[in-house]
Amino acid sequence: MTRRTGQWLVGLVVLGLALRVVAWGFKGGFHYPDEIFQQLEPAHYLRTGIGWLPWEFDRGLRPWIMPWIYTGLMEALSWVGVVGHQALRAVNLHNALWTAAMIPAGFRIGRALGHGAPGDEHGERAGLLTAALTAAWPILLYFSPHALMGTPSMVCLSFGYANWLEARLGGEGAQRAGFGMGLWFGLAGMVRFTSGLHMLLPLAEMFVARRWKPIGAMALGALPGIGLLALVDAVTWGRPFHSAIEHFTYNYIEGKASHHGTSPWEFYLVDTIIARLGPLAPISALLVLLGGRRSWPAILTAAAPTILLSTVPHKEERFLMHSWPMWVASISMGLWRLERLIKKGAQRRTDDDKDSASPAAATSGLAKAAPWVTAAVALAVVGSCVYGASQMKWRWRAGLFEAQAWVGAQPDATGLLFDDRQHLNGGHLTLNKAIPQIKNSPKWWRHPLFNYAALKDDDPHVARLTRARWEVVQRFEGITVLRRPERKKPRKNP
Amino acid sequence: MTQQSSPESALTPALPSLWKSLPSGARKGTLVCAALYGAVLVVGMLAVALGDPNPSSPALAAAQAPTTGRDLATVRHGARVQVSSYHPRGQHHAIFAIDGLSKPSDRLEKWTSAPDDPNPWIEVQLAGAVDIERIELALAGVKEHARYTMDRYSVVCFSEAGDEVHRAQFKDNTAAVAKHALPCPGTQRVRVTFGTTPKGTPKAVARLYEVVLLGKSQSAEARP
Repeated sequence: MTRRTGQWLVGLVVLGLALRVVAWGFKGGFHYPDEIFQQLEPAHYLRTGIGWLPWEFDRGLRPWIMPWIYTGLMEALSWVGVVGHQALRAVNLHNALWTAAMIPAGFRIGRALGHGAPGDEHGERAGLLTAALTAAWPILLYFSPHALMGTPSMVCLSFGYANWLEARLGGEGAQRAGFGMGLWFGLAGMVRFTSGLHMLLPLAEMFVARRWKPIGAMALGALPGIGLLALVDAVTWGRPFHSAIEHFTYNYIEGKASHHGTSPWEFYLVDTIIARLGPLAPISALLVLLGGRRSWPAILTAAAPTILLSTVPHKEERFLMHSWPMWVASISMGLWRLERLIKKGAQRRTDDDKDSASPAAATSGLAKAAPWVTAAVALAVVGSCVYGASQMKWRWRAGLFEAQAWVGAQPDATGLLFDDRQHLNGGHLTLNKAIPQIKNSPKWWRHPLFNYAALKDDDPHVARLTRARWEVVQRFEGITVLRRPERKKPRKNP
Repeated sequence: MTQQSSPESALTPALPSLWKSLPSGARKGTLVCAALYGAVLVVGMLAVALGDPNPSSPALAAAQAPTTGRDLATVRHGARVQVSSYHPRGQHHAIFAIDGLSKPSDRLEKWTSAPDDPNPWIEVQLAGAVDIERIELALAGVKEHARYTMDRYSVVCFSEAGDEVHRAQFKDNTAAVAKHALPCPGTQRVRVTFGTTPKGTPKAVARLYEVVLLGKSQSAEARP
């Protein structure tokens, strides 16, 4: 790699870090309750003994690996006084910064795809374009500051893809790349089992191409992730791979995933990909096609799970987040190809205008325009994706999270009533107090413990509580916090 | 799909190349930071693994002075409660045991211990020293089937200095509200430890709706 390319890459990493901090700044609440109740609330429970764990932890559908990592992180944060909602924000920032590691992975992906092309023999131009888009792609920025299992899994998958594409190139580095592929895919699968669907195409390609030595190295590389999962499950659930077995049984043998809701077959294509690409989605699609035969590994790797998951009735946008690194690579390869086509056009003009009075000037102008045209198109598709990403829920339940944190900090709080269901809030991690917090109901209004309520602004109970002399003490995004006045006489036992 | 071989020698992975392009000082700094990050995580996890969180309910900033003859173990009288464990499924907080309601309206209003807690205990920490005369435990039978009523438990009273004042063992209890004389003068903490049965049986976890401590306060002021 040239020194100049290295400097560009470092610059893109810095840009990516800055953009991820910005994304974190805009973020509030959660993308989906799982990031609290499958990851951080269990971590909080391990550390403090208090927490509300969902049904998956009854049956053992979840490994305890990530909760343990998060509990270590939150314990360390507590040493410097960062607890509760602040700890949640810090963990999200931590994850956002870690996803910047996908930028050098994106560089390696693009470099491997573009490697050997005339004029870009080492693929560095393709690598830089992929790194740039990985740094700035709005959907990747959206998913970065989250404790979803998919976020660290996406980072691991990116490195797995990079190693796979390097292994495809053969040479002395193929075995080492195979080992790296196994290591990162193993870790990705350990963190989130369904990321296995996103490995299908690379694994199949390795076997069809009969790259036996890299495959052997890959199997070896996968052992740490697989071994860690087996060990942690054996210790926590009493059986190696218990969580993976139960996950498979529940979803695919018992078929209970659809109990959580179903969506039409076109959901992923229309609502998750096209909508997020924004108004210039057709331009992005053209770029993907323009990438041509060089980027088919990226295209098929992204498309395969999209097609497979479209056949499963239960669909969620986050199930497809792992596809975005390869969609981004596909789009960047299209940009790379566009730039090369413009330069090729400039070269043809030179050949045609040999006898022209100023052939050099014409060639120079068009060739110089190529990177600017590429940059303009890149900015346009990124800008279009900004619109698509802006339609996502950046601050779902953010008001309630802040209300919980505020109530937990009140010295007189002994119980909290909130709107909606038990899993649609920031958990005991955010409340950070050993008091009950439950769904609001008038039957609890006179209970001695429940002296705070956090309800939606337009909840009719707000007016009823106000009439019952509860006092509005705070407001957050769409949430009104009320406090019951102090009782002068103790309530008689019924 | 055929294996492609490049006429060039081995492709150098990007990360080492990026790594090599960093100044040596930056590389050393990165290694130190990475080692520190890993050490912090590991130490954090170890601290949690070796610790034994016994969560406590909060202390109220302003509490009313307890009245002789009434329940001394209530939140409004400045009492706190600490437990060996919480059940992670459900909002059965220990603070329900000192909410002042021994006749609950809902099964939610109880403390439930964790399934993997073989010797669950709950400790009421009073605002100040009191002379306890009686203890009443509202057990599962007040709201649920009698088979869940804990039948074996011990009660220990501690002074403000931490000395054991009195100990009593109870077994074969069948009463939904178990009432016992408890001569505990100068007591600031009372711990009830339950005997559980194997996992999957009705008494595998402790269920307690209320702890009532009757006696008289030694001090007119509540501890803040």
